[in-house]
Amino acid sequence: MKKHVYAYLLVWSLLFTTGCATNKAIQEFTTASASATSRLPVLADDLSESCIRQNQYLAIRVGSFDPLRLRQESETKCIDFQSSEKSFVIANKVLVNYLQTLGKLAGGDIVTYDKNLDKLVNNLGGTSLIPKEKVNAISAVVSFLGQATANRWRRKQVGKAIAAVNTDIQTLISTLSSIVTKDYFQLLQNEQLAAKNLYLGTIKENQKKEPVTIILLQQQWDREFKVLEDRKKTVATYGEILTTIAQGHQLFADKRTTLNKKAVKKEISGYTARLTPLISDINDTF
Amino acid sequence: MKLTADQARNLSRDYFDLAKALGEYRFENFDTLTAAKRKKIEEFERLLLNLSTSFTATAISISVTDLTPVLERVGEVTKQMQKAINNLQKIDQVFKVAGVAVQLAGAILSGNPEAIFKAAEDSATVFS
Repeated sequence: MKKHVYAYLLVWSLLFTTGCATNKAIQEFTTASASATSRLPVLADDLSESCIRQNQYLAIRVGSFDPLRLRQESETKCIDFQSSEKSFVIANKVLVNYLQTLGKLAGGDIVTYDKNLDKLVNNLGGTSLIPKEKVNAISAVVSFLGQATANRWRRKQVGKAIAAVNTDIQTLISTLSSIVTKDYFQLLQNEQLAAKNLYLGTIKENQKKEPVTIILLQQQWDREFKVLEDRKKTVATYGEILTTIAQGHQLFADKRTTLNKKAVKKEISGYTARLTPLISDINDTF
Repeated sequence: MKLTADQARNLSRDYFDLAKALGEYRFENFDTLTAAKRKKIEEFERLLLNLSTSFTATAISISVTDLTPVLERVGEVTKQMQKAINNLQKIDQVFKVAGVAVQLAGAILSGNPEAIFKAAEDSATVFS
């Protein structure tokens, strides 16, 4: 009988350990994903700012030098971007909320039996009617059964949610990615071209008359060019981040019935490992 | 006919390419072009660049508008998951209650008044 109980406990403990580890892998992935995308609103703010800077370059080139008026007129011209920015931020928030909730549901920190059962064992143990070793065995069985039931239920809910929403998550991430990697990138390109028209045009027209001013102008152009190049690199990093999140979520969907397998856990951790260095890259620019 | 986001993106890129090509021509032939011709080309560049930016604004606007039903569905699933989390917290409470009940039973079985008192006190905390 005793052997039977121990064997039973061993099976449950193995099941429990595997389940928990996988949930932890999902939680780590969703935490990294949410952290990576939580800074996207900062980038979104630059959609209209890039448009404004572009307009300012073009306006200065035709002789408009009043900074306040220049700003106001450019803001008016870029008003469409401001409303799109709000929608972009909302869409990103929906993604971050989903990832955080998925991580919370998958994570092992919601149900806490251990302290309770430790207390139970302490209070029950050593009495004359219930020998200590029996108390331990009973408590362990209750604990494992409880944890395993909750984990199975949790895994089922996680799988259900992932299956229901995977197509939409892929669409959402793909749209965010297109706005960042194609549209924002295009705006940066346009801004760079507007800057070139202002600086190079002015340099060419005045290089013989004002050589010292031209050197300063060239330096200013170089600095602005570098800032925009850095932003373009960040755009590429965000592209990688969003692709990795989409691939990780696709893996969840494809393997939703075997999320407790060691090999799947390893694959999930691989995606998390890919995200971690990318997060520090973007934090340096925005 | 309504534009798609990708069509607007392609137009944005095409207008940018044209503006860029005109600019390259203007700077490469800066000394041979008259000031009036340079000015005319630059006006075209400005116009093309503004159109490129407008098409980008259109692409973003179409993209975020198309997302509306997607966001609603993702939001709904997130709510369902939140409910599931609340249920898990309820399960936690059930286990706490069960744990205290077992503890109380054990104390009663032990016949130890101190343990019974302690277990009863714990039960009160859980049920409160």
